[in-house]
Amino acid sequence: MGSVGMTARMSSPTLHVNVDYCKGCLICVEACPKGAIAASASINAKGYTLPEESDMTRCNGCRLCELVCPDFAIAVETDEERGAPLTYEIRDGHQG
Amino acid sequence: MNTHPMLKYLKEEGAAGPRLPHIMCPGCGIGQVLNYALYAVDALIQEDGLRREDFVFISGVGCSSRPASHYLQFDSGWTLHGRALAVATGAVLANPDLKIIVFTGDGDTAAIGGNHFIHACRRNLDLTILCMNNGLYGMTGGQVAPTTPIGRVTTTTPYGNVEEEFDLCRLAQTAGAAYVARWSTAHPRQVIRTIKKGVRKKGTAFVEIMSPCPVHLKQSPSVMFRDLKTNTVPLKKADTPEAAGLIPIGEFCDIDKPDWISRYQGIIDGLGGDDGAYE
Amino acid sequence: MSGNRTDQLIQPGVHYLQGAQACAEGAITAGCRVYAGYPITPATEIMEHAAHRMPQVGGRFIQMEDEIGSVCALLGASWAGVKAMTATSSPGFSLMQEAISFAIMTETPLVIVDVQRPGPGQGYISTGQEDVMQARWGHHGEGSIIALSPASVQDMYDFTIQAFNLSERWRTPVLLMAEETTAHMRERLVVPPPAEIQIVGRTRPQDLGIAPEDYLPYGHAEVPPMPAFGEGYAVNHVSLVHHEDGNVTRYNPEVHFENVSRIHHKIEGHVDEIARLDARWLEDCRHVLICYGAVSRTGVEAVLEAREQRDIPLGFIRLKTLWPFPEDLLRALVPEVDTIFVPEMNLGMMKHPITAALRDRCRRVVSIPSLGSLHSPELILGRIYEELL
Repeated sequence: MGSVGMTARMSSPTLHVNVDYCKGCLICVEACPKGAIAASASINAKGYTLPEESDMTRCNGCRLCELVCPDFAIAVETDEERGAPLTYEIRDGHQG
Repeated sequence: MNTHPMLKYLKEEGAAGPRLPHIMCPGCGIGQVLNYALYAVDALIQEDGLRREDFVFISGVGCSSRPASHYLQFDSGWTLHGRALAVATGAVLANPDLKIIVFTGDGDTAAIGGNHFIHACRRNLDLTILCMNNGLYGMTGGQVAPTTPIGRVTTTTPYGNVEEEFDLCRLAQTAGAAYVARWSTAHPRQVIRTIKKGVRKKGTAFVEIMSPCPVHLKQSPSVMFRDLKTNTVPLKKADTPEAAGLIPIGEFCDIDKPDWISRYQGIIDGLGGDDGAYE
Repeated sequence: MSGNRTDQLIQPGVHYLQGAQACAEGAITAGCRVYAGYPITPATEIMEHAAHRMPQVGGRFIQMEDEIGSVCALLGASWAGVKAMTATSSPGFSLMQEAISFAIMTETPLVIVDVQRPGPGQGYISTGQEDVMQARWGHHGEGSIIALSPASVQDMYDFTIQAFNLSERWRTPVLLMAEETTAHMRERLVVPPPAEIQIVGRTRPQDLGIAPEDYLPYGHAEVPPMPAFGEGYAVNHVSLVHHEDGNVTRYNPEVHFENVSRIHHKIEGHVDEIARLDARWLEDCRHVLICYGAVSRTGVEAVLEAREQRDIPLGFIRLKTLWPFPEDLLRALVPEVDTIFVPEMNLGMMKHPITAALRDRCRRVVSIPSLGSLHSPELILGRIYEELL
C-alpha cells in the first residue's frame, strides 16, 4: 500500500471535517484501522452526526478515511505535508 | 491537506451557486465509487502522463449516473436511461483518443440498457464501464431490478421477488468484454487498481462494484460497509462450500484482443488511394 | 478523425444516382464522419451507401443494435466534435423520439433522415408523409425543431448539406423528412464545385475568445458556443432543466422558464432565417395548391395542366421547410383566394398549420389525400376540377 507517513512525526495528524459536506454516514469511523476517530456528539445544520478526532496519536496517516468518504468531507493533515499537496500512492500489480 | 484531495476534480461552485454536497444519500456507495474513480484518474494523470482533458465521463440515468451530471471538472455527458453505452460508442468512433469512463447502475445497464450493454461488450470498444450495483432502482424509490436477489421485498415486489438475478460479470464475459472484474465499495484499493487497469486496457473493461443503498435497504451505512467485507469471497475460493451465499469478487477475465477501432482502422488504411468510386 | 480525404468526395459534375445515395453523399460533403444506423425499409440504402463510403473518406460507420442505439451514438459523436447522421423510416423514427427530445434540450447538432413509409404500425413499405406531425410533436416536452422536405434526388443531396448547416448554426437536431419515393428514385444530380458549397460548423467558445474558466455551457449567446470533448472546457452535457453554467440544482420556476423558452425561441424566433419555400403563379391566382416533398412533383404538373388546359388561375407553393412552420411568410405571399388545395400522402396533416395560417385568406381548405402511393396528376386534378368546375 501507500508509503505516506512512515517517518517519525513531530505531532499527531489533524483531522479536518467539512461540516457542510459531511452527511454523517460514519463509514470513516468504521474504516479507520486505528480507532483514531469516532462519532461526535454534535450534528451539523442538516442534522448529520459528524465524526471527530478521538485519539489522533493513534493515527498513522493511512488516509483510509479520505479514501472511503462518499462526500469528500474529510481530510487528514500530517506534519510532513502541512501545506504541501497530497499524493496518495496505490501500487499496481497485486490484486486483493 | 485540510481539504479532501479529490476536490480538485470537482465543481464545488458555479455561477449559479454551490453544487456540493452532491445529491447522493448519506453513506451511499456511489459517492465512494466517484471518489475511487477520481483517485484512479489522478494516478493515471501522474503515472501515464495523461491530461485532465483526455478523460470523458458518460452516464445514463439513475443514482449511479448522477456523479457525471454537473459535478465534474471533466468533460461529461449525462444521457438517457440505459443509453450511456450507445452514446459512448459514438464518442469512441468520433475520437478514439478519449479515455471514456462510463458511470452506470444495475438497472441502467441490465434492464433498459441491456441490449446496448451486451453489444458494447461484444464490440470490444475501448471503454471502462463502472456499474454500481445496489440491487434495486434507487432514484425512483427502491423498485426491484434484474439484480435483486430472489425473495427480496421491494416496492414492486411487496410479496417477495419471484425472479432470479443476473450475474452481470458473467453476462459481460459471455458477451465478449475483454476485462471483467467485480469488487465492492469496501474494497477501495482493488477498485482503484481495476479502474486504472481498465482505462489502460484497449477494449471493453466492465467493472461491477457492489454498492450499498442504505436508504432503501434500511441499514446503517457503516454496517453495510463492514458487511461487504464478510459477505464477499475471492473468485478462486468461490466454488467451495463455505462460499455458498457469498458474492464472488475478483477478476473474471483479462483477454488481449484487438479493439473495435483498431479493426476498423485496418479497413480505413486498406482503402488508401481509392478513387472514391461510389457505385 | 483519422483523415479527411477531400479527394474522396463526390466529384463536381453530373451524376445519376438514387436519392438514398445522394443523401449519403450530401452528408459526406457536409463533413459527416460518423454514421450509426440500423436496417429498415425503405431507408436501408442510405446506410449501406454510408457503410461503403465512410471509411473511404476517413470516417467511421457502425451498424448499431437498434434505432435507439443509432441516434444515441450520434449524440456522443457530436459532443466529441464530429458531425454525425442516421437514417431510418417511420417505426424507427418513433423509437428515436426520446433521444430527439434529449438532443433538443442539450442543444446537440445532429441529422436524422426519416424516409417515411405508411403507418400506423408496420403499415406498408411504400411511400407516405405520415410522420410530418410527429416530426414537430413526436418528442416529449417543449422545444422546437427544424424539419426539411426534399422532393428530388438533387434535394436529397442539397437538403442534407443544409440540414447539417442548420444543425450546426442553431445547435439543434435537424430532420430530413424524405419519403420512400425520393429515397428510391434515380435522377440526375448536379454537384457544384467545392467553392460553391457552403459548409457551416458550430461556433466554439475558442472562436469567441472565451477561456475555459469563463465558459458558461448554456450561455454567452442565444445559440451557446459548443466545445468538443477533449478541448479542456470540462463541459457537462445535461438535459435536466439547467442554469447557464450547467448547474442543475437550485431549481426555480424562473430558471426553468428561461431555459426552455430560450430553446424554443432559438428556432421559432428565427423562422424567417430558417424556413424556405417555392412559390409560383401567385400574382393573380384565385386558388392555391400547397404541397411538399415528393407530392410537389405531381403537384406542379397538376397546377400546370389546370392553368394551361382549363385556365384555372391556380397558384403553387411548395414547402421546403415543414418546421418551423413559415406562417408569416405564407401570409405575406398568399393573397385572398377562394380555395387552398393541400395534397398530402396522409389524411391531412400539414393542412392544419396551413389552415391556421390562412383561414382568413380563403373560403376553404381542401385536403387531397393519398395513402401508400404517390398522387398521380390525375388524382389531384380530379379533385380540383370536382371542386372548382
